[in-house]
Amino acid sequence: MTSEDTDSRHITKKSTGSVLARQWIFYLVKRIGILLIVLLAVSILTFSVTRFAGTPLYAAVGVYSTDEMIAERKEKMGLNKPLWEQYTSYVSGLMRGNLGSSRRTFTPVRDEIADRLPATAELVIFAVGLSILWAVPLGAFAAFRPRGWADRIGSSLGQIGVSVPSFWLGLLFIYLLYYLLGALPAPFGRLGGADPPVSVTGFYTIDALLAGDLGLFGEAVRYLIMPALTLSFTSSPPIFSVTRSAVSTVLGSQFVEAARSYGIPRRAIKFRHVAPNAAPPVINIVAMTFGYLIGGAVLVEVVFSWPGIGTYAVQAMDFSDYDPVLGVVLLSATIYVVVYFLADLLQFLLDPRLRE
Amino acid sequence: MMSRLSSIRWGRSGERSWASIVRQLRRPPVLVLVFMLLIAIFGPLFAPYDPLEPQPMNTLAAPSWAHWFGTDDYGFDIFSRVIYAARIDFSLALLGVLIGGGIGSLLGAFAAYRGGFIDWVLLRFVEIVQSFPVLLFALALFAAIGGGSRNMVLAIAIVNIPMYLRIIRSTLLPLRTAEFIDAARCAGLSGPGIVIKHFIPNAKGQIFSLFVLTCAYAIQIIAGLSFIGLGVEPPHPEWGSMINSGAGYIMLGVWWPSIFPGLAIVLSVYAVNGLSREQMTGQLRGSI
Repeated sequence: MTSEDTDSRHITKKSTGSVLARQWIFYLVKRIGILLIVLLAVSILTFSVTRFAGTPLYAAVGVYSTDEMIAERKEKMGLNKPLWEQYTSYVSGLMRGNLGSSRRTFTPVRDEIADRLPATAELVIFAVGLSILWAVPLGAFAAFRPRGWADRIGSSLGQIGVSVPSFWLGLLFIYLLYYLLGALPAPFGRLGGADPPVSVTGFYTIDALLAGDLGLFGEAVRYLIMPALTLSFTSSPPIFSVTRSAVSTVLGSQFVEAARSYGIPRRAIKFRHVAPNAAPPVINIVAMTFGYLIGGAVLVEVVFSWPGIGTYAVQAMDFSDYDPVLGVVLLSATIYVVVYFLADLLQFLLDPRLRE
Repeated sequence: MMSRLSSIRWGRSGERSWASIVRQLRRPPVLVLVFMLLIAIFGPLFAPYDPLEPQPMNTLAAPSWAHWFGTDDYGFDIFSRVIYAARIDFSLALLGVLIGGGIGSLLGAFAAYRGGFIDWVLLRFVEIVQSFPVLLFALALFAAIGGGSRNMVLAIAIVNIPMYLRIIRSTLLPLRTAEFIDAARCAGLSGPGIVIKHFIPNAKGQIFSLFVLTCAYAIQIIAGLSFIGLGVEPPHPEWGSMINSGAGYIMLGVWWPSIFPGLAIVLSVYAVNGLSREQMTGQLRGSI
């Protein structure tokens, strides 16, 4: 590979390999640098909240404390070191997975979150899956026929979806589907009072299947439907609108027109030309919705007593128990940033136009 | 993608006649918005009951002629409270968005004007704030400085800054190399002068449509925060906290304490959103 090949701006077949590799490394380094900077800032932010909110110092020494006790405790907790030293020990704690512990139950936040994350993840995966099922095909249909039925249904669902608060929609579903129709179980968490399946993945649906218990699987799904539907309804409008605009941009492009003029059958155009070209932005928005909902499902979790990380944070907040709150905040911001990063990389791999 | 945000239906360009205003008024979202604003302004004059005076003998009464929307678990008249709450919700949302939008637009215009390192830093700031889910961000903020209406306005202002910053910046970026900016500089106008006199006016349409969308979003955030008990304190009428106080009864079939305040939110958000032709999309993070 000669240097003039790598210099050429037009990617030709010959040079693709090394140009791609070089661009790829450059891009990766840049993105990882930005990722680290954002994560650093996020940790600074949560650290400063812990200092603002007051350290658990006084909770630790109690009401009847002497100055000596406070001083001793301060020494022990490292509170009289300079601020940056406190910060570095905070971050090195985070690296080891130390998110502090609850003031109320004295359990480490890490363990509690590890217990609850599968609940949130299962709910969010279901909700996003549901959104993909309806929003992507509808968005594509809407683009094929603007102002047709798919466009009308999709746009009005989208308009309602962004206007309706998720927690209220959840309550509405509870009233309609549980109280009036009795079709779905009461909104008491993942399985009501029933025993959960033996934990393998932490996802009740998968664990129940692994245990071969179809009845339990059905129950788990029944408990999932309402919260997942609520979450999907209020978070899918962007997926619909992005799909619609991505597909309609591709449909209006010259290469599709060219393909049409060659007499290539419509079906083939749709699947061979339109789908791959419209896919990157759609994948991107789906990934971002997923990353966002891990921490953004708080209200829906609360409404359905879903034992996820959002409910955990809100309950802790009620008791001014801040370590759990910040643990959840930190985790969901990190997940969002990392998912965003991965979606970007995927975008870069899928769409050669971005590499120019 | 963002440039399309600027299109607001205020009639054809330049047309400001009565006919166009009347035509605007006939659009359903505008009608609903006018209706909701009238309620917020004049509603308390017509509210049948005092929103803060409970009737302990008459709790959870179903909607009737005496209580159009029924009463809640303390015996508050829900209809009156929904009306009074419009004022609180609208004014908090407006205040937060005005503060956040103002700062965000100025910073965005400044970033577009200066470019370079400052631009880079501001963009990272946007990324950092937007990596938190809005509600959790507010939770962390409230952990540090406490909840309540005042801090809720602050939270809304802070989450609005990056939205405006990013979008106004990308709108105005082409102006950096525009000739009339060079001309202004040659005429001796200072940096801040150029930003305020030439950059901001060129983003007017964008700022207005963002304003509309973020107001709708803010109403939802306020309701959401109050729903989990962190915003407006309970005895005061607020749609989100009213929904919360009725939430426990909905499984028993008592739907009115939660459903009516929620309808008020849906109507206002729909109406405000409807002012802009472009729907809220991914940039603003969907709904609450």
